[in-house]
Amino acid sequence: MINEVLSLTRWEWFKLRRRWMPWVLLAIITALPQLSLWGSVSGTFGSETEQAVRGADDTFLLFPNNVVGGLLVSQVYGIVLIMILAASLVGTEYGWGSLRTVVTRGTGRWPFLMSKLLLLALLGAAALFVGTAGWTVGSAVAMLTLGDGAWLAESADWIEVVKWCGKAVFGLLPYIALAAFVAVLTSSTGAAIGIALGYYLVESILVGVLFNFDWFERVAEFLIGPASYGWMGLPGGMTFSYPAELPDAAQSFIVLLGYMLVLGGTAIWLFQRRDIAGAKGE
Amino acid sequence: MTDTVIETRALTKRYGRVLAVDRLSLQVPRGHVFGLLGPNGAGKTTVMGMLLGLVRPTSGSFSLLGTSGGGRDALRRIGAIVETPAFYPYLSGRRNLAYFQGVMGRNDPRELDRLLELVGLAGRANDAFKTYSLGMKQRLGLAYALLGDPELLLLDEPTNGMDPAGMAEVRDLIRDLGREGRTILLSSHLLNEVEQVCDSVAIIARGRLVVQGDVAELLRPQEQVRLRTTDDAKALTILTASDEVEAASAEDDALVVTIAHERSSELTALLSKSEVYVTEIAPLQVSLEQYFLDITGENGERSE
Repeated sequence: MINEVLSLTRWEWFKLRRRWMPWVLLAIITALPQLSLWGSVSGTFGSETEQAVRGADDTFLLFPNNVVGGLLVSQVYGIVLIMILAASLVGTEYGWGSLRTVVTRGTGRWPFLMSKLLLLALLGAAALFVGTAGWTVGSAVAMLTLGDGAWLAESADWIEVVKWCGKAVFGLLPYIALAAFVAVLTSSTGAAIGIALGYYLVESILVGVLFNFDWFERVAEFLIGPASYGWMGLPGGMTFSYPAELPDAAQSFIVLLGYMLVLGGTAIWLFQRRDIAGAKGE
Repeated sequence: MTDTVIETRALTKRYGRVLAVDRLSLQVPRGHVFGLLGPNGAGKTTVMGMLLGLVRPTSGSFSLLGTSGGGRDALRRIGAIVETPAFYPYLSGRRNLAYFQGVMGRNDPRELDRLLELVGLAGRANDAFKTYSLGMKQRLGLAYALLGDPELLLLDEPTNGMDPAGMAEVRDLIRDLGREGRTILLSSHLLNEVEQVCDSVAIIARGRLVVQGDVAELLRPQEQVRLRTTDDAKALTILTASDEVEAASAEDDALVVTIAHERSSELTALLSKSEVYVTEIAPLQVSLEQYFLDITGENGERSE
């Protein structure tokens, strides 16, 4: 069964790489962190706020510490983009009616969906790598051209950098599961993109409100966004709506894993069980 | 080797208050080109969907290639198209076939060439599927159904959207596939298509089986002859009184007589005994279309 999923993943990539969408999203995940980087450094280098941007220990833009900065920025954009891709990758099978064509020749339904989820996880990791690589090179260039010329940190904790990479990729998975679940539930790309992104936006606003109330603060800790930030170990207050205190990494890991399993499992269950109609023309 | 390739037992599908398929029991013998004939909305596609694992039956059961309830192993031995074939619009016809061949765990470019040639798409194989006409999509669907040389084909309205020449080509192809020994279940609302292509037929209406049998046998009881005589009024009286004749009536300027096929030659002898002579006699075979309309009630009241 694992071989079947891996083979189907390969053939998913055969299809997907011939679409415009992944390449457009890749261009966006490359460009947006660069815009963020140059937008902040060009306005702050040489100014009084330079120190704040570069960090108290003056290493925020130095390699390899800038890898972490790149991961954090790329993940923020990556979450949105991977949800769009996940909704499209699953939803278009209903819209084009191709799901019916796939299933009638004996392709297993759940291996087919699993192959899509696996490909999305791999593409999410690849997107983070590209966004982070761009940020890393960009920040080094910024230090060389606008800063004091030093781009390499005096000391580096590579194990910590690798941990951040793993954490960032894992942080994408519940969002992939969310978008895939909504796509299967609604059998529609458009509805899935709208609902998944809508949830992401509404949740971030809601969390800001909930954290103002003692009891509801505990509730908010079990939503995807706060758990994601808690898992990444971000200092509180880094986001526009989240408070200083975020849930600890262990609790956040369990919450994210729970979302991933429940949303992904329900998507597979629905995908396996429901009747498959013809093309919806989306 | 079982002699029945598809067997459904009281297969039923209900969508809310709508009964799409009602206790349908069918047997499709091995090696037959079997027609599933019915008007639009009769439940043909739903039956196909249940057999192919796309639609979950509400009740009843079926077996495919000896496997109860179908299942993936049986589906891997089946080629199918359901309604308008749906492929990936941005991929070419060839790449679509290559994808499905790959998903089946195979990689044989020569098979793709052969199938594209067979269905007449070789010249457009590298164009995107979204640029294909409906007839070309159907042809690609046929090529897809033939991937892997399946022993059973389920074809749902395979000539839908084709021009007359394309329809004739596809019907020839289906007949050829049938002659090779494949079992084919062909659903259609086109009576002449079933009449031309199929050995056996099941007629369904409103989700229910109306009749099932050989195409020739279903037509045989309806055999009629058109007759002109030297005295039609006298001939009608003689024929109506005869035990050999099932029915006789005057229509236009001739008589229409329903009689068993093997006894039709006795008509002339019967009439000549009374000095009424036949001047013209011709078989008047009721078309499957008329038969179909009569028994499904599409031509007025349902006569079931």
